[in-house]
Formats: sequence, structure tokens, C-alpha cells
Amino acid sequence: MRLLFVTTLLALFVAPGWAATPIDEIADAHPRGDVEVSNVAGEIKVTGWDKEQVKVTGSLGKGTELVFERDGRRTLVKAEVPSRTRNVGSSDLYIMVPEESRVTVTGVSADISVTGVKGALRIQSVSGEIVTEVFEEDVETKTVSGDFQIRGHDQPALLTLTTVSGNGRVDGIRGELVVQSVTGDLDIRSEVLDRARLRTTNGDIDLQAGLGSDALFDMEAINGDLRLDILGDVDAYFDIETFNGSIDNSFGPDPVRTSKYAPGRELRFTHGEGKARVRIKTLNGGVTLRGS
Amino acid sequence: MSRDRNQGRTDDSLMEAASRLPTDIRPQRDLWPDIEARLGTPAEARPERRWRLAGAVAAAVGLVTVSSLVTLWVTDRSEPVTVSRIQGPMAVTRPARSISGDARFGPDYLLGPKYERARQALSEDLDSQLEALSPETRDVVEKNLEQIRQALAEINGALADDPGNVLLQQLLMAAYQDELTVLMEVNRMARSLPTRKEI
Repeated sequence: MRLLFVTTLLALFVAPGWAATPIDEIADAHPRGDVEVSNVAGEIKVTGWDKEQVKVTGSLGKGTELVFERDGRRTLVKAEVPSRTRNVGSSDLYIMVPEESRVTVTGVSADISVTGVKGALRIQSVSGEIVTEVFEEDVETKTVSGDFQIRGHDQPALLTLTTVSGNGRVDGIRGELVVQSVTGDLDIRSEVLDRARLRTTNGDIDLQAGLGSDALFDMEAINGDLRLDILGDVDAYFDIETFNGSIDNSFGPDPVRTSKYAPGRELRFTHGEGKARVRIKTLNGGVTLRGS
Repeated sequence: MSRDRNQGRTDDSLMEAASRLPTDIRPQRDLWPDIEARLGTPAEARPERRWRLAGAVAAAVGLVTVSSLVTLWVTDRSEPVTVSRIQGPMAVTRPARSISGDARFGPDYLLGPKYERARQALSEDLDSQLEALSPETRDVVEKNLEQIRQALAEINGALADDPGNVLLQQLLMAAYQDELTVLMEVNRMARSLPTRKEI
């Protein structure tokens, strides 16, 4: 049964048109429930805590209402803009959730931060910035032009990043990483990765990571440059090829021309026993391979 | 030895019997008048042959048609054909206005009609969904899609010179996937923008 236990605040009627309306609401929540948050513009900050409650503070912009409801394991927090309303003020939502919650956050131009939440995360912002952490559960972030910053805790998890033009930095990820970018630049640091599938059209990708046992790294670019710095021992088979780009490697044999008449280069070799597999392909982008 | 001698005697008796047979056998009636009559009316035989020929052609055409329809039905129900050979300039429907050209796969192939339809539908959706986004975001999406399409054109151009290049084929397929992903994701994002929920 659907339980509506906090009334909607009609900010438009209880405050002057130009002022933000402060909010301070709290409600019980399932310790491993789903929390869905959405806000068009402003800020969304979600933090995990050790209570079985969801608390919402912050302020609502002009013309915006707060919807705060619980339905079983699901809690909804929404800064809602009435239909056909123009010149809506931005809202700031600061939300505490049980730390094992699964959280979905959707924003348009809202900056989003999700920290201390150990459940699975799905975060989407069109143009706002995304800052979040990865623990052991899957994390998925999507953005058009917003930048992102993601910090892992060296625990195995799946991280999926989709960006059109946003730039991003990822640290401390372990497990599996899937990245797709059009023009965004990505800077990724990881002690060990088991799987990495990174693809960009014109953005640059810089991956610094150790190779997990039997790791599979797959990097592709059209015009973007790809750089792979392998941390620790290198034990892998490398399959690197460019159609028109350079290959600069600090170990292994020299790259060779793919054809007497074509500008491309290729580099295929095994270092160590070849337990891991590294595949890097570009059209015009350059490839840099570093390792010891 | 005795077997050979016996065989020789049998052969001699057969030859002797054969030599006693008449050298010709006359028919019981004169057949020439009927033969001459038929030779004199060749035009009567042709229509029958023509009808037989027309029937055979019709049957062949019917068989080919039925076979093609069955093939079309079967392939339409199973996995989509990924590429089809270019038959002519009007082989596929022109894509939406925001798509600059056919989904070519190298100089000789087009991605299949299902792909074209999906691409066109997504592109048309995006045209309407973009209205929901800010001008800045719209600009970002359009510029990035343009970059993907320039990449597609560049790879296709390179494939025209080197159609068997596996790297180019892989990058081209990935670039088409990227285009669809951007179209789908931006559509999905624009649709899921927070709006008022009537309660």
C-alpha cells in the first residue's frame, strides 16, 4: 500500500517569489531499499549514514514543490516543477540515506554528489557535474556534457560510464570498467583491473592500471589518443594497430608498417607468458604504451 | 576346353538362324499419307508448343517468386541482415534530415533496412526531444553527433581504398554503434527529465 507520509510543500505560495524555501524532512526507510532522487537544476547531494531513515534538507527554488514519499522499499525525493513553468529557480537537495541503499539520481543541470552509499548507483545528469564513489556494487553514470569524478575503494565492482563530451577522472577502481565517450577526455587510475572496455570517438583516454590475472583490456578510438601505463608486472599478449596513427611503446618490439602503401602501424607481441590480453585500435589517434 | 567348344557350337546355330530372317518387314497399311498430311500443316503444331513454353516460364517465375517470398519471410523473422550489397542509388529510404547520408559499410555495402529504420527513427525522435534540452546542451549533442558522422565518412572513405581492411571494418562498426548509443541515450535522458507528476 502506498503510503504518503509527508505532504507536498507548495513553495510558490508560502514564500516570496524570489526566495528559496528551506526544507527539513525525515522519514523511516528500508535499510537496503531503493531511493530515487530527481532535481532539474541546482544541487543534489546524497550521503550514506547508519540510520534507517531518509532525511532531506536544503532549499526549493521558486515554483518548485517537494515530493517525498515512501512506498514499501522505495523512497522518492523529487524537486518537482509544475508543467509549463518558466524561470524556475534552482533547488538544493541534501539527502541522507541508509548506507546500503540503492540510489538512482536524475538531474538536468544539477550537480550531483553521491558519497558513502554502498548499494548500486545509477546517476544521470545532462550538464551537471557528477561526483561519486564505488564500493562493491555496480555503478552507472551517464552525462551529456557534465564532467565526472569517481573514486573507488579497491573493491571489485562494475563501473559503466557514458559521456558525450564530459571529461572525467576515475581513481581506485577495481574489477570491470566500461567507458564510452564521444569527445570527452578520460583519466583513469587503478591498482588492478580485470576488464576494461574503453571507447572514444575524438576524446583522449589515459589509463594507468595493473593487469589482473587473465585481464582483458580493449581500447578503441577514432581520432582520440590512447595511452596505457601498466602498473606492476606485465604478462600479456598485445594486439595494437592504427590506421594512420603512431605507436609509441616503452617495451616490446618496434611497431611495423601495416603495408608498404598504407600509413598505419601495428604491434603484436607477447610479454611474459601472455596471460592477459590487451587490444588497442585507432584510426588516426596515437597509441602510447608504457610499462616495465 | 570342352566349355569353349560347346559355346562355339551355340554361336554357330544362332548365326545360322539369324541369316534365315527376312531382310525387311512391310507395314500392314501404307503410313506415308498420314506422315505427309502432318508435314503439310506445321502451323497447327506451333501453338501447342508455345503454350507449353509459356506454361514452363510461368511456372518458373512462380517458383522464383514463391521462393523469394518465403526467403523474405524467413529472414524477416530471424536475425536481421547486417549488410546488403548496394543495388542502386534508390536502394534504401533516405534517412532523416539530421542524418547526412546512407549508412554505408564500405564502398559496396549498406547496413540493412532494419538498421536504417532504427537509425532514422532515433534521429527523428532526437529532433523532437532536443527541444526539451537547453540550447547549450543541444549544441553539444549536435556537434558530437556531427563528429561521429565525420568519423563514419572518414572510415568509409578509407574503406573505399582498402575494402578488405579489418581494422577499418571494426572501427566502422564501432562508430555506428556509438552513433546509435548517443541517439538512444540522449533520447532516453531527454524523456526522463524531471517534470510535474500529477498527484
